[in-house]
Amino acid sequence: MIVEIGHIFLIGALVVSFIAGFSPLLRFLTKDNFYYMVIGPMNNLVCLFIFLSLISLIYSFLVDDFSVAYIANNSNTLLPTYYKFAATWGAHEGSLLLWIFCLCLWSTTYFFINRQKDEEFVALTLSVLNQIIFAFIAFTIFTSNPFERILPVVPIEGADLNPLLQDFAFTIHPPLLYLGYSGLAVPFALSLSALISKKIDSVWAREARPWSLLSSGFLTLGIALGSWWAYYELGWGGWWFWDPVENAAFVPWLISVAMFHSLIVTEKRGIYKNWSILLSILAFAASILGTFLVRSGILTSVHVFALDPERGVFILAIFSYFILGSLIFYSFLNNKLPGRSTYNLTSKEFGFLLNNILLVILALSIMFGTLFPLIYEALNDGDQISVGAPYYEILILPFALALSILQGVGLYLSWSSTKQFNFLNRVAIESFSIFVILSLLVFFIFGTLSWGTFLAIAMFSWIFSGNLVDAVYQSTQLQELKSILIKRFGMISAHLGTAFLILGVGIVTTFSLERDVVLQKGESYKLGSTHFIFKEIQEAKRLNYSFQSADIEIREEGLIDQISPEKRNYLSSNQVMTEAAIKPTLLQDYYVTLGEQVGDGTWTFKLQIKPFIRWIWFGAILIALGTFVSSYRYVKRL
Amino acid sequence: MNRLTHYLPLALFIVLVLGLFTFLDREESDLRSVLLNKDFPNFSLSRLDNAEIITKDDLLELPSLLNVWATWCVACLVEHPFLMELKNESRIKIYGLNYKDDRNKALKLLDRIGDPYELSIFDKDGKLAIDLGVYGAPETFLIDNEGIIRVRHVGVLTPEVWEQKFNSVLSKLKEDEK
Amino acid sequence: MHPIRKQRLYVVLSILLGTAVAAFLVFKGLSENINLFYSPSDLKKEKISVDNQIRVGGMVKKDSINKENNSLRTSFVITDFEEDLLITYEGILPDLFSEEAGIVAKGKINEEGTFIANEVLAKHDENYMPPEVAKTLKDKK
Repeated sequence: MIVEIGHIFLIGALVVSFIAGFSPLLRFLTKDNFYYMVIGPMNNLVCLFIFLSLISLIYSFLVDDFSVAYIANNSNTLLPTYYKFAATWGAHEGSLLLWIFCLCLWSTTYFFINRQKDEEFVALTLSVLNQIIFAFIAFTIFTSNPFERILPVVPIEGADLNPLLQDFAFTIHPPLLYLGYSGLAVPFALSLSALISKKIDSVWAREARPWSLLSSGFLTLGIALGSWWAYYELGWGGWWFWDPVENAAFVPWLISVAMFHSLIVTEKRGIYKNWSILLSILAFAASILGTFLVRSGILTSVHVFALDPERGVFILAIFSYFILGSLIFYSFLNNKLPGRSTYNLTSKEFGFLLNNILLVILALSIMFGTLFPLIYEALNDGDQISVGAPYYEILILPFALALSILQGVGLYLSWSSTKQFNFLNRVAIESFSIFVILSLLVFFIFGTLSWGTFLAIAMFSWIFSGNLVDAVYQSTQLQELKSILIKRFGMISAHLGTAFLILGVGIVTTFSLERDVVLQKGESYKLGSTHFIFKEIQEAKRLNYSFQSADIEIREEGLIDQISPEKRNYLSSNQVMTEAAIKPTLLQDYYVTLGEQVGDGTWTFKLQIKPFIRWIWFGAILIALGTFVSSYRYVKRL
Repeated sequence: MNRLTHYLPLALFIVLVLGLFTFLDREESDLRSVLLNKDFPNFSLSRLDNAEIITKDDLLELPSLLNVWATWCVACLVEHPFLMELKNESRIKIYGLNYKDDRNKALKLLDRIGDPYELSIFDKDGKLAIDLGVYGAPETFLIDNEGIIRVRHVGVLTPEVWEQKFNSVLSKLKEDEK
Repeated sequence: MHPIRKQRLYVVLSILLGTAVAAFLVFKGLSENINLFYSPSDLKKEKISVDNQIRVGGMVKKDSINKENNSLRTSFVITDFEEDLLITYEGILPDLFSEEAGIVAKGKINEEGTFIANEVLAKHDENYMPPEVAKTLKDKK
């Protein structure tokens, strides 16, 4: 019964979002402003319906209603209650519903912030958002309905949630990522609305900026959490694999970062308007591609697309409608925009331009690498290839380098043309001192240095001095420093975040130690300067799995600790999973994975030491924090 | 110059989409007919109209056609009248492969527009379809008396296609038999 | 030159430069980092240089997994139902590696025709078969 109610709410939301989405057409025909006024309330109604629909799906998961196909496939009576709840978005159908809910949250937030504003502009924006909501509800209902029942034979037991997903980080990873993805629809809608009502100006840019900042922040958190999850849950110690799913989130992230930088110039100088609009379209396109093509498995091969024509054609239709539609608006409604200001090569404008070119070209090249196996397969009669991680590593390094250089000095450039270049000397001296100190420190800790580390430390020092150290050095009074720090908090935090991230990546890729070993009970292995001692192995059972766990003692100067990697066997799916054990310290992680038994009391282990890995996620958190603070400031000022 | 740059993104996008479609088309036309002149694969699936499990041996009337269809497939409706014609004029028996579909919807549709099939195999997950290398619906296969696939056609089965691709092979089969 | 002209020139030049660098890197990256995929039958037909890093895939044959005692070395046979291929690997195998599972291995082939894997992947979902493997098996079945 509850399931049917949820289904009906979903259909109700479909109908209402359709009316809200297309009611500007009625306004156009009748000139009656009533059709603008109803959009807001209808938008909120859609949000409520989707919320109730989601709640009823969650409820059905909690009560183990296996007559619903989606629940039977993704849950199970043995599953702990918390994971039953999270299993709601454990697979394609439910995650679509969650995606739609996230978009509804954005559109409703937009409504409440702007309800006092220009009626037409707000109504148009909301109607675009509702068209998007409508399209995706239709996609859900017609191709991936989570409320579909399996009748008349109801299974007694469900198939279980993939054990890999039975993890706290993974339960909040999709909502964060989806908030990021769907948030990109707001700047997109604002752009369309601005094109139609011919209001592409500073006000529009100021309004679009917080939304792109927020999406970017949520994408950052989502991506970082995904990487953290992969690190400790997959049991291999990898934190980034360049696989299509990760790239699909990384590409919109890069574009959204380009977008909120470009919007600064549009707001302050009234230029790059076309570019900002195109970026908002591109970001939304990347977000659709990201969420749907990957989740529905279509990106794995052209073949899947052909085998599931229904979903594929639907997605293509949605994609073409929005992107083609918005580009047509862009081409034909775009008057020659006034407000050109001139700038030269040393200007801030040009710095932002370089930042944008770098970010967008990098994003497109990553997308190309991700799609290349598909292109190759289609061109070469089904021959299959994969593009290895080194492709992306070669690609990203020069771009990251150029972007870091800009990040360190961009702050000091002046609009139109920079006349004073004293800052270059200062930043160079400051960053060189930091560079020397840090290099010595790293050398002292690891006893060795490499080009990669030098480079990472150099980039870190440069960004660090340009964004923080110089501000401290320059301000004569504490009061002055305080006000600078407060004023620029968002930017400083985000830029320092990238600096920490770069340092973490540089050091973990050059100084990680890894070894597969065979150990007998009582035996020890020395990796780097650390002893790993295999103490004991035991077997036991928990709620929905049985497991073996090994006790490993870690000994190092000033550190003795014991950790227990596990090998689990999930009862309902009979699936084996390794659960790595990690001992985190400030400077490095000790990471042990249990392999299998190869003799009496003899087991295989994978031992790893991962220096500075936590700095990567710490950096990501700083970036997200920066975007949130900045967008909060903007919203407050609106 | 300025006007032109305004249309550039649109033009790029259209080129991209057209490119994508030609890719997909290529894929269709380049089909390597993996199973041509090979045995019809074994299967064990339920009938569409009841839960009875059927296998390859239940395809009694050979030679016959195997037609892949689904309710979500619009092109299947286009070829439907011709399939009915084949059935009514008893030119050949047709087996249906109901592909990635909903059982109730499928039965309702057949009730409404008429059932050209001897029986339909219910292939919800596309298991047999994968073995057959089906790319989408509609597709039609000709199976000879020995259970060997002789002809494969992707797309709508029109009277012209029937004449060109199927009828010649079919009459040859009948001659051989004599 | 007119300032706006000049400005436009800068913009176009930086875009061209950026694209050129990216195109160079993409080209370089792709030519060095594409791993071609082979099925055991492909390997029988084609001679592959012992230096080339390739990927192979297929189903692990029943009773073919051979683990050496007290060592990390494992050998097993994969098949595409036409040809078989012997693979050796030293290290810890993924959780989902088992008999009759579809796997993809990365590595090089040696003079004797044995595949020396440096990485073995079995995707992290029991229902999931790597797409290349599914296709190979389907083509051959």
